[in-house]
Amino acid sequence: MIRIRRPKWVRKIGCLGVLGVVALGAVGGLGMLDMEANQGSDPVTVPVGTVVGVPQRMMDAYVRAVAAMPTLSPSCKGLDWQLLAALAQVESTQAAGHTIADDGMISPPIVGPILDGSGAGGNTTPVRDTDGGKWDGNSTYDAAVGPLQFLPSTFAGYADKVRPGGGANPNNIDDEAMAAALYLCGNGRDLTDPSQLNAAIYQYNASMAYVDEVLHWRQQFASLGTSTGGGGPVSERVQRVIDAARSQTGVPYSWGGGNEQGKSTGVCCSEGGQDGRLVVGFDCSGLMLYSFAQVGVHLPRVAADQANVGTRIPASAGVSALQPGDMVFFGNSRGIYHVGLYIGGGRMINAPKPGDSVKEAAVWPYDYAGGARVLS
Amino acid sequence: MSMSSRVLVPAACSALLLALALTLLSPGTEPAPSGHRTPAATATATAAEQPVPEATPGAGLPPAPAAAPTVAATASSPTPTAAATASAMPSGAPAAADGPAADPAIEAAFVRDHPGNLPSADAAVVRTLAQEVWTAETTGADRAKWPQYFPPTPVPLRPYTQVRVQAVTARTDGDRVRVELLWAGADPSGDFQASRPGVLYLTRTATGWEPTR
Repeated sequence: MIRIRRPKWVRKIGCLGVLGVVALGAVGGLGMLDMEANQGSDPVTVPVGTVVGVPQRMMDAYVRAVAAMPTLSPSCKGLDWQLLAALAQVESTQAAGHTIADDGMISPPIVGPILDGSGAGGNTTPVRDTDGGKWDGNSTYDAAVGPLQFLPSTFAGYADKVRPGGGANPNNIDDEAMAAALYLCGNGRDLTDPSQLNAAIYQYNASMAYVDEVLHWRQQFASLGTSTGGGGPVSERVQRVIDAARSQTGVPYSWGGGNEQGKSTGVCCSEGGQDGRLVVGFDCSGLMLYSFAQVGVHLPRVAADQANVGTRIPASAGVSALQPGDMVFFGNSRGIYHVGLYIGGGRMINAPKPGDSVKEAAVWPYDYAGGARVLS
Repeated sequence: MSMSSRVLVPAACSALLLALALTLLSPGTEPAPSGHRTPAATATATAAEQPVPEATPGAGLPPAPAAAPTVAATASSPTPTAAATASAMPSGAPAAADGPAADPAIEAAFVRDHPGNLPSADAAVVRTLAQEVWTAETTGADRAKWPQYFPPTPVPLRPYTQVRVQAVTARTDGDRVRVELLWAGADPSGDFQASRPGVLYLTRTATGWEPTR
């Protein structure tokens, strides 16, 4: 934990420059600092450095938005970057597949399904156009826009406050994060109160299942946010393992498939019906077999047994205890049912399920069952 | 090479290959799918808490704790063979997000872990209702059936898609019933996940059951 009070010259550089400098100096890569909002006086604790699989530019926007609330919504309590990140996770997977420019603009723009009531995207209630198609390209119906998926009409209500000089854009992550922060804060919510927190999330999407999911991700980010194990350099052997797993991206999931030599046909049949004999690929533990074999480590065949190899990292230690190159497990009281390769920043490479393929993904928010370290 | 050797050598090779194949296909030696698990290998009960030296290239299997089981040693139920038509998991556990056909196995395991205590007739009614209410909660479908539970709201709904309830169990909780469930679906970003936990409450009324918050 590093606490600094920024001199004026630093304020002119801006918080992002400070974040970078402090990040370089922070032991292990991740530190925390207390920072004053530009116009506020209450210190706001914000993270620095590469965090939790959230693109750095998006993290910067979340931090700025939270830091601005003491000024823009003085009565609001308890807003944190984890909540904004959780919303963006559920709404757009942190703008996955899109490019974020230095000025915060996201391209191509993120536009949800047109809400014409036809059932696309599950929507059966038409939402008539409010923006003349400016943001969603449709002048008959609206669509949610931006990485936090505001309806154009909702975003318009915050545009002036977000960017008083005009020009607010829902596909600018700074503008969208600021609007989301204001939306969550409402008329001075106390987000440390669970009922007010739930209400704040519910107004975003009228489903308690959605509220639960956002809170799951918020907790996940809170755990990861104190991580020091995700951003540092890794050993050459760990890198080879990660490279091996990543090289298989896109290879199909095959039930029982994969071995130390690479992808292969699997066995018959998953209970969901996949006949691995017909698919050349990997299942989750097969991908681990192959990846670790590239550095001479020979693992047991199945995930539950792989969890017994090396140093066990208990689930109670949290995802923050993981280091790149660890195996990360998922299970329940019946045991382990899935394994992936942790690559840092709350991310893993895994063969997720029948019908899917090897891919990078956030560590799942459910059934996290700890890790195992066979390389250091 | 004589005629007999021309016949015998391939035959012997075939026999060896057949024997090798049978060995590979025999229980305990076939590569089993990843989700195979044993009761000893739970998330929190592993014996492998002790640090072990890092394996070096060519050194083979990293030194595992003595208690660490091998696949062959821990297969507690029949291991699948290539001739099998289903239930590839030795433990009967489905893989993550293994499709609707795996839901009965998921529910069986879930109910074992979270046993219900309702009479079977009530349990069946509660199960059906819970599935309907949760589907309404996640997708918005048929919310009008329970106007008090889903009061009209100006808040927009961006529904989950591909929703299905995978497992349900219910227990009495004071004067109402607490329903725990697992469900699968894609969130507004399109990210599909299975085995998501969910909880809802039902209360018996004069005419049946109603969801309550």
